[in-house]
Amino acid sequence: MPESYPREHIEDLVDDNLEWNQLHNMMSDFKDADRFQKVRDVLQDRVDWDDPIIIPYADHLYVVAKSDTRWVIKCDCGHEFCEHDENWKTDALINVRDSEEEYLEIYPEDMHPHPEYMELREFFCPGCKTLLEVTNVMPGYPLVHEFEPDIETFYEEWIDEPIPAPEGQSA
Amino acid sequence: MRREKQRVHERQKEGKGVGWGGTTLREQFEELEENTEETDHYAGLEKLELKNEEPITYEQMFAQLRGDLVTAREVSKEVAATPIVEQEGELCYGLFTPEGDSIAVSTGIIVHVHTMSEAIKYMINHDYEESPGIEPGDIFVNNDTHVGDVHPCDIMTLIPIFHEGELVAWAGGVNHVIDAGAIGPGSMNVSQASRFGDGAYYTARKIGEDLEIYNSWKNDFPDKTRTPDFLKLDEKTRMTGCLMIRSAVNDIIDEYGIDRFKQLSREAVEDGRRGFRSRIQKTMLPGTYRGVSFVDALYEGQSNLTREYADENHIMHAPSELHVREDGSFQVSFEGANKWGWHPYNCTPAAIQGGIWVMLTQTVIPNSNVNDGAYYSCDFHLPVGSWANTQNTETAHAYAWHFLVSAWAPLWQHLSRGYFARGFWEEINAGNANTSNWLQGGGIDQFDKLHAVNSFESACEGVGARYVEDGEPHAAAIWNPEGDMGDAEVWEMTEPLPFLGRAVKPNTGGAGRRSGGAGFESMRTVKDVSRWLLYEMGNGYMTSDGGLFGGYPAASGYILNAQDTDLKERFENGDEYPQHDLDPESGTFESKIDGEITRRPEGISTPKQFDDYDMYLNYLRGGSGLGDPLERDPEDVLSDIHDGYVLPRHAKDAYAVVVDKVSEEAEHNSASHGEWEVDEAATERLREERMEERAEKAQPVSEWYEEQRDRIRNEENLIDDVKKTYESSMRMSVQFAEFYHEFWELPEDFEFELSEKAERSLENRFKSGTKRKWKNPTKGHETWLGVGRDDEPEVPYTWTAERSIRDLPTSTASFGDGIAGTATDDD
Amino acid sequence: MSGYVMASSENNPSEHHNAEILSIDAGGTMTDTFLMDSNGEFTVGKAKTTPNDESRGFIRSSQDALEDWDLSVEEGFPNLVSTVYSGTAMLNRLVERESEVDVGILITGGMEDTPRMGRGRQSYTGYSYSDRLHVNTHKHPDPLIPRNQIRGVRERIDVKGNALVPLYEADVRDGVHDLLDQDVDHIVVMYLHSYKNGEHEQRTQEIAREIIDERGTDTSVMLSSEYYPTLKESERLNTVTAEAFAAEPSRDQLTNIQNSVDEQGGNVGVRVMASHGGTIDIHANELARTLISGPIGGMIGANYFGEQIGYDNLVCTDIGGTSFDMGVIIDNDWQIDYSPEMARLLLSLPMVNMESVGAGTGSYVRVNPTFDKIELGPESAGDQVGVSAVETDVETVTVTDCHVALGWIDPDNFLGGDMPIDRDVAEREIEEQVAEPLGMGVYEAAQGVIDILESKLQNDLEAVVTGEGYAPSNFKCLSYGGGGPVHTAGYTEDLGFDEVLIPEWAAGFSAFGCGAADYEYRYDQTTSIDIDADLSMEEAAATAGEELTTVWKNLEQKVEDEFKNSNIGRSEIDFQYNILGQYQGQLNSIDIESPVSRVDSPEKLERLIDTFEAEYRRTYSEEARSPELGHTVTQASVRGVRDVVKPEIPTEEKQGPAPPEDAFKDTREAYWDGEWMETQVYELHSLQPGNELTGPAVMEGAATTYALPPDCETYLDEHRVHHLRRTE
Repeated sequence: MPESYPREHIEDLVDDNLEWNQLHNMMSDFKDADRFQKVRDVLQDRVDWDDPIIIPYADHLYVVAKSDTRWVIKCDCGHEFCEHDENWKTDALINVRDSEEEYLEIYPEDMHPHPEYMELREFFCPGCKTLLEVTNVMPGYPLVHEFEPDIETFYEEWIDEPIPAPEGQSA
Repeated sequence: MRREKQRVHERQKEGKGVGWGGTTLREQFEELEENTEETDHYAGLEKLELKNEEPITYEQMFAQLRGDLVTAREVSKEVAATPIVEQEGELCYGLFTPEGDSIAVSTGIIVHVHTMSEAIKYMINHDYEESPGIEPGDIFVNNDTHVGDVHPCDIMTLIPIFHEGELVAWAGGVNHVIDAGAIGPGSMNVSQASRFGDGAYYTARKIGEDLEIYNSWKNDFPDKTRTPDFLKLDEKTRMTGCLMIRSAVNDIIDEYGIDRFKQLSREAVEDGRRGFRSRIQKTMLPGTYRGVSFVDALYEGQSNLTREYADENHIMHAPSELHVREDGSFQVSFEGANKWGWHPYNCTPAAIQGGIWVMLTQTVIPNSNVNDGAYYSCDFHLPVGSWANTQNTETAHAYAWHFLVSAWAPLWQHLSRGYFARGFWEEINAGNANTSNWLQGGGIDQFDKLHAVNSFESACEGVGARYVEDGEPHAAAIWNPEGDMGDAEVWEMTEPLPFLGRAVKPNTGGAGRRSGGAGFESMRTVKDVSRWLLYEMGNGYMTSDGGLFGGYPAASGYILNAQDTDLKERFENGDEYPQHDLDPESGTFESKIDGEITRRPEGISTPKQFDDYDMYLNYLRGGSGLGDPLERDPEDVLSDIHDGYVLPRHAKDAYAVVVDKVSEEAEHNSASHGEWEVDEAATERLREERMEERAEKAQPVSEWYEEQRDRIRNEENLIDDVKKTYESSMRMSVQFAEFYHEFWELPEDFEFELSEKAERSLENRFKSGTKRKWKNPTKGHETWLGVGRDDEPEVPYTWTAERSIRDLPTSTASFGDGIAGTATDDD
Repeated sequence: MSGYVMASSENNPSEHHNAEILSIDAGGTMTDTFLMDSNGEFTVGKAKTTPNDESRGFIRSSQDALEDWDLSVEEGFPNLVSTVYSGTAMLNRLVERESEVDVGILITGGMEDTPRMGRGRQSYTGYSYSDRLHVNTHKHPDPLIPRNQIRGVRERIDVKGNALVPLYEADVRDGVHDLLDQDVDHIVVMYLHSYKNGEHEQRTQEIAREIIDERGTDTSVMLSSEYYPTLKESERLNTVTAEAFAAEPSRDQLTNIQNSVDEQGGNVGVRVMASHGGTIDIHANELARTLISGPIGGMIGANYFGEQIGYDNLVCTDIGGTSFDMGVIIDNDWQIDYSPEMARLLLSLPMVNMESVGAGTGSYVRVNPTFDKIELGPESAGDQVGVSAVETDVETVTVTDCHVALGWIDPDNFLGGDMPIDRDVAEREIEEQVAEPLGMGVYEAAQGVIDILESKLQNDLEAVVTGEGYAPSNFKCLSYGGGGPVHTAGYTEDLGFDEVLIPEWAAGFSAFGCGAADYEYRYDQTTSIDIDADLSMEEAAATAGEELTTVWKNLEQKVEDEFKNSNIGRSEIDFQYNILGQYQGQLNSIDIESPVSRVDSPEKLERLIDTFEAEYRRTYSEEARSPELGHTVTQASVRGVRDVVKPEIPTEEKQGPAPPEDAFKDTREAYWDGEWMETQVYELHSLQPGNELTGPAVMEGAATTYALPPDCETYLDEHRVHHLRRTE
């Protein structure tokens, strides 16, 4: 077990360049202690903006520090959604599949949900139009706020590190 | 053993119980609960003395125990008669503390790590020590899901293990039987409305002593089912295994001494508890994770229902919330779950908890240290009266898995979101497939015997997409990661249903940058039977698992049968006949058979009669997708076509990939013949156009919100089944009602207007109140509400956009005894 | 590359040797030779494996061994009376999924996806316990044959053997033409339940051969009802496909080997080691039986050894760098596993039943950070030994490193000094990787690692014995393999074996075993013969008994035909008759050696059933017996054995209990159970029969180290086998 993987290995993970046997080994091994920091650093190199990444939030999305007190959810295209503890979906674009015809674009006949019972909500980034999440819910269901990370506890108690802040404002 | 028994009797004369130091079991159990609660360490073990002082001995003892459990399973499983046990391995053993906490478990259906625990605790809580007595050589059986089981077809045998007059451990074994004696054939019948149609229930009953099963029991249970011989062999299987465990524990005590054994049994649980927290702190992020899932159980218009009031549709609503606390422990809540229903998919706490274990062992703790320690790191909030915790002994539970499997789908995603934030991308998985269809039935089989069938091809569904790789096709089931579809020839030995085809089924896995693993289908006909019944069981109008990070949910189910066919003539004439239904809209199936064809988008049917040369499609589901499908490599989409995972027409619609057929010759797969090629330039253009279309077609959520709010206020385009589900959840949960009202800015007195039938249905069930099984619980089992901590609300409901976990409201219970009413009916 | 002579240390090396038995194992990189002369003395040789023409490696390796006796190949070969070859080329084709030949499949229409769906089980076969639970790691291996080389033929035979759907002959013609268009070398035909009724497959073969003749190709047609006709279509198909894909290409290689033996003046038929425990001729029909042979050599050797010395019940244990293999021999016979897994495929080959656990001397030792406990394997450094082997790039501590740190292994004399070992490195790394994280001393930690490994092996070993319904006291435990004797005392402690035996040639025991294998064919046939509980013995004998007798006769004929290929007549063959039997309705059967060769009378049938009942009671328990359900015979087997010349077990005169002076090498400090003790070191091969030693002692051999802890003693018998005993 590596206590930590070499940076190149983590870059390959982030860039999707690992072979199956390497991935399998990573799954089977004990977890490396500094994975979070390594992945965060590689991601920071990969994005085109300078706001420090606090955590990877979801595919394409990050919680970044705008100041030492303000953290926002940001897409890798640069679009900024909302404060980190709000639901980014309220600032997204939405398309709802709730008819037989729209379902048939993705699924064969009889193999999709009944539109009166379930709709597919597709949420896009207003910046790059990437499809960020698809939810399948009953019609009339409120938006679900999937993830509220407890960033302070994580940094202060779990990994014992300062929370990243823009330069000159380090916490 | 006679000496052992004597020892117990001598102590009883001195007024001593079978607990340690002469206490009664109940006293010992209460003390353990107290110590655990006071110190927040299992049994008050703040230090692991044996582990710290003799780490090697500790490890040797634990490894030996676990090895003995695995051996007991491997050996005893060969005694069984059903492919369910012998091929699919649906058999599991555990070793438990006197109080019923699991110390170690074998491989197999690990779901029962905790169910057997509950059964033991039930016996202690209900003073079995006084009557019928717990003595050396006693044999107990249980399949009552309210006591500790997932569903009644999982039957468990429990044997106490004594040393010097003290109860030192329990050995337990459980397996899935092929017929439960329900009103319909098979282990998990679907047409009953209440427990009384589920089949035979045995509530933690003593069935033997001196390791001999009572003559009064030998034929009792088996003869209540259609397959008595199978059940007898299953019982011999469990007995063989339990006896092996009993003798292994005696050996360990002889080798290491009783004190070390007692110490180990406590420390292993505490060690498991700490290990779970440590693993969570190393791989997840603290905070709150939420999701929701649904599944349909449609009974309106079904024939063979046992009660008129069961003639209605149900939707399971599973709001799923996970708090990962700062100490790495879990709090899992289903607050907002709707009322139980007149169907056999209701759950008990033991079922939910057992189910969560089998899932967590596949992702969080895939190692040998699986035991009840992890249970002590997790609190569950299961609203009383909901499908997740009926606390009502009238409810039916034969296939609790239908709701369990569906309700867990968000939990995979919670974990995956944590793994993503933490950088452990190799662990991310979009979720489990709905483990259906269940092909079940029975009648007079090809060997002229009364028989029941229960195909476990469903142990081999597609798996959800990984972040780093597509989901694995036809590989696993949520309740058994070691999934297998078995050989057709073996199924035909026990099922009079010859295979006409078995193939990977296209478009079953959800679309995405990584696609969900594909399911498959088996086309079966019927041969050499009389008065034979078959039925379907699965999701149809809803898909229970969701995509992740932009991936799409897996496909939902449907039913396809043909009856009164001309298949026989077709065989004789060498004509075409159906082997598959790979593309349901192609008309291929219908073009190759004449007869009464049933093709419906639903997933459940009640038992109906089938005759020779009828046909039945067994469709096993796929897993859900991950990531934006437009990010999928076009070459991978091409492979999907060649591999039969995606029908060519969906390359364009779902993935914006343009493919051209370049040859008719190649036969890459069963679904679509021919050689295809990616038109790279056209694909690039199409993908650009698709991005623009998205921008044009999609609307800001704020706009959509206003439209939707009006829709709900005006109740437009919302069907009765949906409104009934919302109303049911709102009546169950003040928190959910508040959340729903606040989210859509509804007037305080807003209620959905329901049809008379829906209104009656809700009233009928709410008025049934609770009929609790546990009459005499100790503190830990007094209620399933009080599982939170002091600084958290009893009901940790945080379903609003404005609130964060740092400012949770104060403790309030959403419901208590207020709703208890009189029962209205009794089948 | 010189060989060593172990069994004849006192003999004059210039004495003339008459090389009689040649046993060759061609591995992936090296080809090993085991050579034995008419006096039972033996030597070994080595050469690089030559995959393109295996006969070259065969000759060079033989030459290397013969040189020890100052013989050339031309001088040695004419005296050979037995030559056994085992290679890994076949298995490699399966593992790599690459072959010189193309194979097409005709399968029951609708079932074309069978190979790629591959049984869900194949997505985790061979995985560790934790990976089997860990669903993200599951992945189906590539099928042997891609989907576009598989064609469906509409037909169906049902479970009772009746034709449900007639053979659609046009499908056969289309399929054969399609496959021939793809230039396949072999067409495999596998229809459902063809093991029960092969008519559709046979008709398919007729049609295919007509087309092949018309088109003038030399494609062969292989039927699953003729090769491996057993229940379970995926396993049957994998096996007959492996026959075409992996075994057939080896026929030329094996013929080359035979030719070169002939050219060097040899007058012996080369036989191949087969998974069922015997050897078969290179012209045998079912050559895929020889896919797996390496690890079972030891079992065969142990059985032969037991027969010669008079030990009926043996538990065989073999520790190598990566695994611990265990097997049980009862009444001088082994058990057969009918569905082994190989190259991540389920096969239907009869294979000598062995349990293998992923723990050996090269296993990695790591501290699980979640539970702060020592874990071993499943990965290992294999032949790279460990961190203390300074010329390798191993970074993780292994079990061998612990032995080095504790002074059990001499750093200057590991593998006869071929592998430089640094004890300081071992101690430093154990300290850093294991001891510190656990807050233990370095030697305490190293000892702990060995204790954990040995108690794990002990548990596994006990499970293998008790799982068969026996107690260890019924057995003698035989320990071999290069890594075995260093652990023997540890893993046999407390189990209560009748005796613990360590042959001095432990490291070469498997090769010895291959040389000891019988010349044997066995054929199996799936059956479903019910013996209903309500029948009288007369009625049962007239129905079920007759049916079983007929099947046995047919199988007997097949065995006879195979021997006929090698000009061996029926009178030279010893037959043995087996069944797999179960209670009606069960799915698992137990293997019974029949006390009778025919069951056409009530008395004979009763004897067979009595044997079954006795075995069942022993294996499971009296509680598990259910004769009231009736019985079913699910498989019938016939084994035919023909005597061949076997290696001699050395027998020497006993000397006194004191070892000769030249056997004593040294004393050194070694750590035993928490204490440093002065330990005597001996040269293993210089000890004499009759010698007795008391622990602590270490005996160092050319390829193995035998460790004798303080509370143990050992006695070397006249066959150069050590008997290990506890002193208390």
